[in-house]
Amino acid sequence: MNVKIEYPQPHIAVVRPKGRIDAATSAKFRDTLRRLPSQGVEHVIIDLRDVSFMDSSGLSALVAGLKLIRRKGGALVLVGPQPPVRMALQLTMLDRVFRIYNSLRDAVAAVNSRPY
Amino acid sequence: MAILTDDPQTELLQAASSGVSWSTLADAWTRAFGYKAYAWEGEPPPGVPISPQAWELASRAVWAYPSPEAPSWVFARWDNKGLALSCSTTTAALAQVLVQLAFQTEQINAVIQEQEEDTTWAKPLSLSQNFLAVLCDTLQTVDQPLMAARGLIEEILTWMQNIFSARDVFVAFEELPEEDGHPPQRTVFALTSHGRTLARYYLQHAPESGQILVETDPLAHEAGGNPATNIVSSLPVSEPLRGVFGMQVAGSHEFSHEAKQRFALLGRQWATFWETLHRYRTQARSQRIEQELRVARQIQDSLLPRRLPQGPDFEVAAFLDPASIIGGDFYDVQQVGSRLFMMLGDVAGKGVPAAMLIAMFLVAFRSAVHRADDALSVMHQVHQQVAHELDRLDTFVTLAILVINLERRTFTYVNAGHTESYWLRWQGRRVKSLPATGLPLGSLPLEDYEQLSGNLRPGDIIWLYSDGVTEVTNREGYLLGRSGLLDILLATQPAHLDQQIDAIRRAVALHRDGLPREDDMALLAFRIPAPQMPQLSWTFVGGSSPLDVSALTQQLARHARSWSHTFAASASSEERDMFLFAWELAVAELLTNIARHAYRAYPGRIQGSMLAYPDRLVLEVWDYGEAFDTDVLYTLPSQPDPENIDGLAAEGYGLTIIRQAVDRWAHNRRYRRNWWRLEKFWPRGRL
Repeated sequence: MNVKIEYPQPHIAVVRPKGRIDAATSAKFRDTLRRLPSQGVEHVIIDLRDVSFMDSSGLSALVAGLKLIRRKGGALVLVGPQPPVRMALQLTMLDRVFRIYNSLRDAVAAVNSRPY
Repeated sequence: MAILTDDPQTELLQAASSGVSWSTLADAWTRAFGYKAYAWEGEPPPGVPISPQAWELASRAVWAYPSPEAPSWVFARWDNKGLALSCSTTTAALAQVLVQLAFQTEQINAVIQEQEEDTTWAKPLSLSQNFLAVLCDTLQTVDQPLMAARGLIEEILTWMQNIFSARDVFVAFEELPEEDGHPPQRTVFALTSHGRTLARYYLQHAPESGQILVETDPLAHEAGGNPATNIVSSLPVSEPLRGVFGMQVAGSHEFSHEAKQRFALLGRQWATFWETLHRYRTQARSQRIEQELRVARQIQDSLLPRRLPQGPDFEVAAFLDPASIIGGDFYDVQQVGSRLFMMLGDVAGKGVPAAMLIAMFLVAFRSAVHRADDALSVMHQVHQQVAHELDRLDTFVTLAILVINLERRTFTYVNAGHTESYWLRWQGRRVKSLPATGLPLGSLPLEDYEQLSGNLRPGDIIWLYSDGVTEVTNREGYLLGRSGLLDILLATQPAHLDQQIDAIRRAVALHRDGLPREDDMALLAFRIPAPQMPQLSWTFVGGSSPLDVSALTQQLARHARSWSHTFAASASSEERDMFLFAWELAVAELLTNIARHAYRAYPGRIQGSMLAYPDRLVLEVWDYGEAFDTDVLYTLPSQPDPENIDGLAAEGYGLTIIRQAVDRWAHNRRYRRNWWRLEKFWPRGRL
């Protein structure tokens, strides 16, 4: 897995992991999310379109990230989870907790318009 | 010199024999073999491993530091000049020859310089070069080198005859036998028959090494009574080689100091010649022995059963991995009617004698199975046939014999000092050890053996193996041991026997972790199929690091995907995908859970098998970590509440996934192992 971060707007980070987020890689993913608030990021959009697999350690990283961003008053949303990842979210019923969008544009619009 | 080959060794010899400078020789050495070489004047340069004291000790010397570890070094010093070649064990002999040749070239040059006015000294030099030409030529035919060199050697003798105005010149080479009681091998060259007689005589009455004997021909009466003087020296060679070099001049003759010096120099050249040939011939001989071993291995391979008996009512698998070209482990399986005869044994020792003994056992066994109906009578018949040979070779053999009555599903078993065997009961997954029931064959004359017998039930397996499987040491010095083997056997018990053998091999390789294997490894297994046998199986043995877990998860997912085309053929590709995603998630969660909790304190092994049944996919995993807290399994997780993000659990989703993703799951603790089982029914499609 590798992770790219883009900033479409100064206060929004788009995190794009690619590959598998599992036992071998989730620690790196978790660290990436943890560092974002200190970099002046308010909202985090996680683009999951290139993630082929995510297990519970990846889900844990997402939950930890969500709680952290929420505490700072920001939003953490997901974009385009593929069927295997969507299944992990559904089996744990975390799909009810995360806001999930189909496109990056929708996600950016959502975090900008909605008060959190 | 008629030598042009693409052989770097010969080219080097050629270079050395044509009197090139020491630095050219050092360069050629490095180019040909990649080993360091130095040539210098004055103090040895840094990098040459020689102490100043050693360097001071001899002003003209050749010396070698043979060492079993590469690199060894050989040195030459002539006055102010130095040559040092580093070499491996295989190039050491050649390095020594080259340094010797370089040294002799200096020696010849020095003699010439001392005797500048005397033009006859040019002749020994050209003779020396001729020597080296013979050497290079005959090295190509190390099998009969002296015969191959015959023409050239006689030419050299004639040349010497002319230089010294000798009546005859002779040289004799002798190789002492390795064992007492055999005659020495002797090759004699001379220009006349009397010369040959003299050569043989002086081999018996050789002067001491370094001495030059000058005497009136003691055998003159045999040559018509013509008075003559013989000059003879022993070739300065070491055992098992001996040799003499001599010539005869007419009448009573005084030899000047210079003449003796020249004569001694030529003797040293014959010695170098003879020693080099011998070294090369010995090398060739050991290569031939290796070749013989390879042939013996082929014989052994052809004797081992190529195809194991097969039948609908039993399963047999075997594996043999010799540690060297010819190992001491062997096995055989023969079916006669409704009986299956199996044996697995270990001959003490290796190599050709072991191979011959194994062949005897195989032949004895194959004839015994037609005249025996239980293990004990097979053992007796085999023993009777091999007893004499075991006695003669003063060796012993451990042997386990298992005879299955396929109709009645009973077995008989005799074990002559061999490692215990295992009977894995399918019901309750219990292990029963089948120990040795007597001493190894060859320990006592026709030892009485006890026979064990039992009733087999469907799914039962009996494993015979050799101790090379369990006596594998890891880097910490611990053996894989019987418990290590049993771990694999139990963890993979439902899988096909050849898959179980794969798992054992992987476990042994993981345990060895790259260390060389010291012993052979043999495995032989029999099973009566259980009513519900998997149609496909895949076994695994791996570590518990996050990387290992991730890799194993992906391997299991790939196998599940490939099997799904057979077992879920009627399902749509979406249904298949959903099945496989869920399966991979459950597998990942189970393995991660084991790695994180069972192996929390220390890393360990994760092993088991994935099994495809017609209706479902099953994963069985064993770990020997800490006991799992089963309460957790039966506690229903709280549903995540979207309105209470702060109260959201950051961990603990793994078990939820397992519960949701598969149709059945189970955990058990037995033999102080955690045993896990996941089951998921193949998607069948909409009917």
